[in-house]
Amino acid sequence: MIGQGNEKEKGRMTRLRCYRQFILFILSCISLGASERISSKTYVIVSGNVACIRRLNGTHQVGCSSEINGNVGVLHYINDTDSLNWLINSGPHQPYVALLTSLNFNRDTVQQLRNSKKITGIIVIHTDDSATTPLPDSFSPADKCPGDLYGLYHNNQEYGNCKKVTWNEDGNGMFFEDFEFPISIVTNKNETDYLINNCYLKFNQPTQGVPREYPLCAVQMKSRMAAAKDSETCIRRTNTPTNLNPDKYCDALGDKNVIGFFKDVPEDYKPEKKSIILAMARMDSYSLFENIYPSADNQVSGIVALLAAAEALRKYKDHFDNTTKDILFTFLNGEAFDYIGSTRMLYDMDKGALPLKLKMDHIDRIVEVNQLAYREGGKIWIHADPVSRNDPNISSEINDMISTILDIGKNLSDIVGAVDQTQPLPPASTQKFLQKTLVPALVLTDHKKTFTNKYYNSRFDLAKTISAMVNASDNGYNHVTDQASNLTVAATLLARSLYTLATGSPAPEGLMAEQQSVTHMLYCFLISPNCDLFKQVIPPAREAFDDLASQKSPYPFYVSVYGQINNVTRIIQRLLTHYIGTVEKNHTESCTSSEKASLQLYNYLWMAGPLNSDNKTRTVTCVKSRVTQTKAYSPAFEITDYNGWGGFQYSTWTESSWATNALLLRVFLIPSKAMETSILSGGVILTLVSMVLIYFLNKKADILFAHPRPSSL
Amino acid sequence: MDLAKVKDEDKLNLCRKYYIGGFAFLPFLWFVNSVWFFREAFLKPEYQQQKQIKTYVIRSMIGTAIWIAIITTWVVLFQTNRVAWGITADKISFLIPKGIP
Repeated sequence: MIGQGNEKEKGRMTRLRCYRQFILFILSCISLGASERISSKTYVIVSGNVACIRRLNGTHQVGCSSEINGNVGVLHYINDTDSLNWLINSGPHQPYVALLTSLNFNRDTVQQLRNSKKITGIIVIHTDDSATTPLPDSFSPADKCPGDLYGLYHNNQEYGNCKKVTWNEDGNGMFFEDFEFPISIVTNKNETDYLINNCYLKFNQPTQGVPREYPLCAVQMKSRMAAAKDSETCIRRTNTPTNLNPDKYCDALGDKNVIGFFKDVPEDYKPEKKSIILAMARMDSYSLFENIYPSADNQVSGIVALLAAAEALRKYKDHFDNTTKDILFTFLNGEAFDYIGSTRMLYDMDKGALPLKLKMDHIDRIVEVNQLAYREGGKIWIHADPVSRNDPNISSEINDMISTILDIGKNLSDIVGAVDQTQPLPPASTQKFLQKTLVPALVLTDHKKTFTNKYYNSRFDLAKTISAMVNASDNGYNHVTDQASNLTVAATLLARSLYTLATGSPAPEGLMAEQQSVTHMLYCFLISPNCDLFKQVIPPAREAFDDLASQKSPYPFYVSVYGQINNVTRIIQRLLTHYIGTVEKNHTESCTSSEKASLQLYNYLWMAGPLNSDNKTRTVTCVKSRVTQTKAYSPAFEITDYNGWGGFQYSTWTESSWATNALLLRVFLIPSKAMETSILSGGVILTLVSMVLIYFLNKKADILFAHPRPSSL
Repeated sequence: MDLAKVKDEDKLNLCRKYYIGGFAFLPFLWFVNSVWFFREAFLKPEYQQQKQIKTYVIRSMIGTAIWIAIITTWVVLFQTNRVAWGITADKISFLIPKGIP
């Protein structure tokens, strides 16, 4: 009996011991498992970084790229000439990564840094805060004569190569340079403060010109681009089937143009010769850095004016019948990259691929709106082409057009003027159309001679630079800025001019652009797309609404890669439909939710619709219009065995592709080269010594490790 | 396989197989042949099959040297001229490097 009790006692004690050990094991797992990775203690990742990417055309590569594993350099903050000179003349710890302020990031400084051969990367500070990112006097990475090689005056002795007017005086051409190191901007103020205070000032700043000792704070910039040499090479490599693992090297730039015929026509309508007025604007621009394409002056101002003019004309649509001309509102994409959209449109015209088999002889005249925000002398300026004036018919038509618009302008606080007759057209899509056929054409811009926009195609072409932004408490959606009221007058001018040119009669007094529409459009395009106007025109689907609500910054005005969704194109197509279309109540079978290219006479589009009186739900509407989209994709990429890559016929721009994890910027401390070498050699010596030791141990194992004598049996 | 435990005729057979095989554009067989049978051919005391093995090993060594020369020349030529050859170089490449011309 007693023995059995002892057995039970022992069993219970063993079980208790097991439980205790098990619980201890679990506890230690939990406490040790809540540890940090060593890499997160070593590296600080800067997430708000935007890189300069590589693009290619038929003959060159431009932009920036890093080494495969990134470029590592000691951080040096340059905010005045002293720090710049210190880096170039005395800095001993090369390679460096230069941290520049917005005022210092210009061609001169960058060239000096490049020539010193001491830097391996550049970071530029670009936050929303104007104290850390002051606006420079001017900054334009475009060239001084944009689009000249592909334009109307290429090879023209008198007007070509900006002989008469240098359009973009402030252009430094940095966009078209091939940098051998990466350039990035940092957009988050906390992170720029971290870089300056915790990295540079703490470890790297020289004390009275004397360089600091290691360890120093370094930055690794990774932005490895896959494409190289030129478009022809990278497209060939992407399409070549010799690779077992097909790789994407680059993608062609391109998207869609948006076109919309204005007047209502019967089912059997065929356009007559010289019966259509082209009212054009471009939809895209570029800048040095990815996704930062604000384009306020170039060309949101033009887009807004044209859309507002379309809306104003809508009320008088019944004045347009088979005795008047038609207006074709055209929004071209890819124009900033050697006129992708207009070249493609003309190519499609030749092939009969446009709706109504549109051709150049259907076009009676062209009116293009260009930049409109920085009006020189408070006026909008009318430019015409001097070469087409050689034809007396066209010359008199142009003069008529100019006097018509000047008259209309007189009634609108004298807002318009005409430039010198001997001056050529500024960079504009009209140039491509005139290359095909000479028709009377005018371009309306805000500059009389050289550009008034000091930030042409740069990251500074913002709402606040064109005075279209306020710090109002209601977010400014309804607040009418100076720019908005001025652009409304411009839109009214445009609407009345188009009316008179199309119908031949003076415009009615009531034909005026809506100031509210212009204000709303400026807000939605430049400040935030999560606005009521856009909510009205998007498809009535949950995903569309959620997508819009999640947008934190304005849509980028960049043509982007062909095949990728471009929100600007979609929203402009919807806005144009909304402004010139009619609400279709009965026959909604043909109504679709997605915008597509169609050759039909009329298109039907579902929209979310205006807010109901309960301010919560919307009435879904079907809108009937003659708005559609056409391809804006360079024929160079569609023609088999195209061999005009070095020529100036079709745009050849592509954008390099990059791996998903290829963009990175992180900060860490680095030791001196001496320390790195000594650690490495120490390790190697240790390995060799241990190998030798083990060899000898192995050889003399018998002597060293005596076998235990087997127990006698 | 430990050659010490193999019979002499089998050693000769093995050496011959590797020698013949190397002619099928497999220079590594010749390389292995020359290294593996080196001791057998030159350092071991005389036995009947050794003369034949010696000829095979010497010929394998010559073949290896020729192949090393060919491959080295081609690799150096290609690496230095790949960029200059442009389209031709791309046509004969399986893996085209990214990010460089």
